Amino acid sequence: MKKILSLSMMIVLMISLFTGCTSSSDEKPAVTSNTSTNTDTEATSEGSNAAGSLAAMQEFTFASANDMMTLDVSKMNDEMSALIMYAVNEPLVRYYKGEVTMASAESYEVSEDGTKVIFHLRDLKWSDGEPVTAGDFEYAFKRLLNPETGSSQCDIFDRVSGAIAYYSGENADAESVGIKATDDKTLEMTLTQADPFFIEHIAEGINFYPLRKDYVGKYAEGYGSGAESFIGCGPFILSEWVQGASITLEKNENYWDADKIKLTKVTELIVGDENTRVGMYDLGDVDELYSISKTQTLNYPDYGSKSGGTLQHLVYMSSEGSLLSNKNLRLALSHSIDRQAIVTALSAPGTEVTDRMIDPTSTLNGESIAEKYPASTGIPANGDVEKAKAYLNDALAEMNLSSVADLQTINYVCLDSSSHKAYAEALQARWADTLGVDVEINIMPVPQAIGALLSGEFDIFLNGMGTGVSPDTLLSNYTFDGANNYAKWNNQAYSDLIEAQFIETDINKRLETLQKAEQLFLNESPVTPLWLPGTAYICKDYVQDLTYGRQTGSIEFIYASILEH
Amino acid sequence: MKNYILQRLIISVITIFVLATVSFFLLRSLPGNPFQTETVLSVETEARMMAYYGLDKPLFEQYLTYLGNLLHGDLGYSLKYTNRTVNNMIASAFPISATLGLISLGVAVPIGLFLGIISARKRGKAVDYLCVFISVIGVSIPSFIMGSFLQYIFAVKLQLLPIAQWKGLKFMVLPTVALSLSLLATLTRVMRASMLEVINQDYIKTARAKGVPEDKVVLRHEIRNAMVPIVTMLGPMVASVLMGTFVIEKIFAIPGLGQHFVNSITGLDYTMTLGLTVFYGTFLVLANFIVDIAYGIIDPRIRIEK
Repeated sequence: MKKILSLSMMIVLMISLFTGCTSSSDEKPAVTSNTSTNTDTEATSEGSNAAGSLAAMQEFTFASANDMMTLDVSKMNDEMSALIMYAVNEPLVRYYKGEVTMASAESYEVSEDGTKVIFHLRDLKWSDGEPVTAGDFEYAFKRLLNPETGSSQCDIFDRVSGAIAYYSGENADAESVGIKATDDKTLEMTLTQADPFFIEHIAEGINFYPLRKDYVGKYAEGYGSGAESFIGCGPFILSEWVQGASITLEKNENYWDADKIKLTKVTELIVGDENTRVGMYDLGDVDELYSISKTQTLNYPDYGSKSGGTLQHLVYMSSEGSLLSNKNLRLALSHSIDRQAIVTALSAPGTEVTDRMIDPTSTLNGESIAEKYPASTGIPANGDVEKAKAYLNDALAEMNLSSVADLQTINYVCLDSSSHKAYAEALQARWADTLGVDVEINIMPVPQAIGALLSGEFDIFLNGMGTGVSPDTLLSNYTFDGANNYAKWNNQAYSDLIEAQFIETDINKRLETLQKAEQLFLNESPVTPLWLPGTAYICKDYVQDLTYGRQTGSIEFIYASILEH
Repeated sequence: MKNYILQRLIISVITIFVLATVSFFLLRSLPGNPFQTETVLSVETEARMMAYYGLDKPLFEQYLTYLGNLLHGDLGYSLKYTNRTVNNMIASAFPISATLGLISLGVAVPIGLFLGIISARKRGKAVDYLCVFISVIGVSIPSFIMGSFLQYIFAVKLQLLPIAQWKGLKFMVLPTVALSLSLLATLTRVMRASMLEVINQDYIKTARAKGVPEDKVVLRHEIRNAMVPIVTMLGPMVASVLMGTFVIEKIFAIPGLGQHFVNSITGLDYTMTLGLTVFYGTFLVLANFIVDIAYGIIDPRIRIEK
């Protein structure tokens, strides 16, 4: 009898455990009043009650999955660090709501031939009261380029004269680099040739900050590894960095534009688990989550989203003798893909299907480059199965194969991440269903997978890369025998076009040449563009003027404020 | 005894040396390199970074440098967390993991042993079933479910305790419960099984036949003898718990060591992975060393000849 009793007790307990779990999904989601902007990169989250008065407590808290790696401005290369650096330091120029705005520099001028850019600094101070000089910028940029610093970011200065020779060790003389502080308030940069994208490149970059020589001297290798070994001159001061747990910023009263800064305190909590982050958002512990998964968007229908900045594309191994060196086979694979269906089913909200290698949001003097210089693969978003089949038949004929079953298995190398695995499986199924092509997926951890990409040990690789500011960022990789020509696709005509546009000084001619190159590239299909991945975010309605920008690649809060709530 | 300790010490040093060597070559035989992330670096930049960190030198030369630094206790700079040393990262994360681990052990060991003893003594009774039930639950529910479940009940629904983070006593309650439950469950099972075995031994019957009082039988004969497998288990258990747990630290946003064990290897952060391996290895060897000495105290049969 007792046994039965204890057994039934067990069962009751078990049942209560499980019902406890399931009821969590019944919970009402917190309502946010974000306008769901699905197309804009520079989506702002202005609340609908923008007229409301400001709260007495101007404190903003958000949570992110990872800690920042470093505050060393010369070595920084991750989004998490960029996000904090952007608030605690002042670059030459900023990028805000789609425009370049003045920051440390009060104004800048470009010489007539376009090869000299001169920045005039305003009066601004480091958070300890010392004045910021042009020398602090010169020191910062040259330290970044110095081979002894070990920065992975050197190539952001490729357009500056003498930079490549200096960082690659060919010329040890730092004076030969075209960066010079002519006096305390003037910074002069000499370019190898005119570049209309240079200012925007600096505004969107994450390493164009000044640096205090005495701090680097004092902390040497440990510079920027903690709150005490860092000093900035931005709108906020880093008051505490509990590594792996939280980052606390306080308003910098000495900031030159302090009147525009409403928040007095910003806290970033580092919370690795998404469910915990969402729980904290529901409880009101945090005001904003800047990246939530597709599953979570079902609970928060008022989420906002943004996209742009990164392009995901399939790289086909096209070198002589490899399976996909057959152009028609590559075109068959590209045409069969139903990008729209995959994006709808699998991608984070905000993801946009694309048919070219240039970011649709990139502009020149306010004009859309993508609209003015069109190019396209010609593949509809839903794919074109008829054409794909025709290309496949041509390919089989060229390869002297009687049926698709004789085709070798195609090796798809896939990054070990949930989204990449889902894409790989969807593509594999699509190719099998429409073309009968057999694709094998090889999942590898990130460093190994990238290793396979660089050494060419793959047939298909889904790669995601930043589109950069200059429209040739992605396309310039695929030159003849280029080190970063991942597809090992060698086309002399294409290489010549890329080379010609690089040295062309007339911007319209340059973009026209690039357009020709792009169309040639898309026709040959060594790479097929797929989509620009998006991110979904949620934010409480009392947070105003939060922007999701290109400078940090994520949330930008320096001009935000908190409404009465 | 002195000789024994000396001998064990020498073996420990050799063990750590072998561990450091094997893990170095195993790690370096993995394809890929630490500087490549999802945003691909150009080939030229990658080569520059490899040269800067000395990773382009012959492997054996790198190994000698690494061993030399290890002798000075220098684990090097992390390849991912720029400008931070592995020593510094372990020094800031280990105390947090160790605190959580010690508190959890402090809760789990007494309760686990007590439940194990009670359940063995009352075998087949309701109390026994309850204890077995608790230990089955504890062993079979993974900590990521237990953690989320506790968060949901106590933080989201009842709002009694903070949901996550590590900022004081209140914040320690939920992770401690989540962690100690699984430890407690394992201890209960082992203790129960061990007690049942001891209870049926001849010497227990002899003791009872001699008229030894019941409490003395239980304390001096049964529990003491049943402790041997527990002590064996406690060595590695203490070491692994103090090193942090990936899942619980992640769910409760605790900045401990656990995350580094996983992230450093997936990111191929060579110095961090090796540093952690050697640190954990040393700790484990030390824990086992203490266990070996403790055996002698608990069980005279294992006591070493002088």
